[in-house]
Amino acid sequence: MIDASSPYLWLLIILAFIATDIWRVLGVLLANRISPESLLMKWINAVAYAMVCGVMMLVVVHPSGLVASSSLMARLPAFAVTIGLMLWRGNTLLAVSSGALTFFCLDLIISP
Amino acid sequence: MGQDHDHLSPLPQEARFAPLDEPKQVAYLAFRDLCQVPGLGLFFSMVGFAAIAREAGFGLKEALATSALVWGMPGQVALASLYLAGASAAVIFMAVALANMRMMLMVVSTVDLVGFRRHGTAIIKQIILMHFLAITTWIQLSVVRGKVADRAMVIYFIAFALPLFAIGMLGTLLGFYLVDLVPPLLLKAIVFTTPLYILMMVAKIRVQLFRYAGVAGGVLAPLLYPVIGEWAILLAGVAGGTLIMLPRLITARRVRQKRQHRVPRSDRSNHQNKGDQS
Repeated sequence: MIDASSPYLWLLIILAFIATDIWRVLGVLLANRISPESLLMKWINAVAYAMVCGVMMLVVVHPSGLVASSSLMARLPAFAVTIGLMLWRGNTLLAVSSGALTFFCLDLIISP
Repeated sequence: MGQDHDHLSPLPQEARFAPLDEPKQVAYLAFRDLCQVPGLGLFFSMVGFAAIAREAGFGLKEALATSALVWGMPGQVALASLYLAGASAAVIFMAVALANMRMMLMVVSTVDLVGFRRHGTAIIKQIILMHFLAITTWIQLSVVRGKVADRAMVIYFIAFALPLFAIGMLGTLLGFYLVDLVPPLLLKAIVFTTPLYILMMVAKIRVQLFRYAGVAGGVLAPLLYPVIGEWAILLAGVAGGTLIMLPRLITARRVRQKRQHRVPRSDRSNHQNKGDQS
């Protein structure tokens, strides 16, 4: 076990803080220079939505962290149930909770 | 998905036509939205992070500081897992920067959604407020746009983002101890709700163009990941977003050319409509 209170870890945390907030600061500076109605603004928004959906689909298909220990055979059907219910009923809460329940049940059956 | 039913935050019907702008009502709406899936989902995401952080050898203080200072899940997970793997500081810095790069685009979008420029909010104040921006908040703002009056969006942002931050800290704190109590399978399922929820929220966004951009990015990223790893997010975002914007960009160019050549001012809107349909 690595020493939890090492100054090195605190240095890493500060570095991670800088690595993230650099983007936030740049975002603010950029946003104040682009016209809200411009095509560039639309493009930035489109890229942002594409990126966020990309990140989230990676959790479904190639996850890291806690979800990594589950099977794709649990995650994909859960995703399909969520999409299906969303298209059919248009109810987010119903769709997401049913998807999560599907994942839980399949994960329970599949995982060793 | 053409329907814009909103079962998530039930509002009085008239709210659809008259956007809310009374500060108390807006703050109440934000609080009510927060108490549903967004707050719960974020809470458990942070519980999940605390589990990873503890496993990586973080103390409670370090885990809390990471959540508070980074406040962006992919970067937090990258920090904890690379620390565990013994990666160098430079590698960790790059990985976190790459994982949270989308933050810049989200901030641009949020500054626009909230209307900081219209309000003439000082840059430093904008930067401080944007530190509290999370994916959940940004998605919520996109969905709520139109239901809340433009001038009240700042109130909604503050009433949503700051309590969400507090919930995140609570999640990290409790997660540190909760991990032993909650069965891992259950925790996994709860953590898995966040991507499902965010994806469904994008599906609900009123601007069709952005919904399509989401689909493009969501399809491209998993396909690219086996080939280029973490860069898949960046490439899928830029390629997906550009692909969806392409017809728009071409149309805009064509309209501009037509205008320059022979279209008189009065006919402009007519031609623009034709251009939009093509």
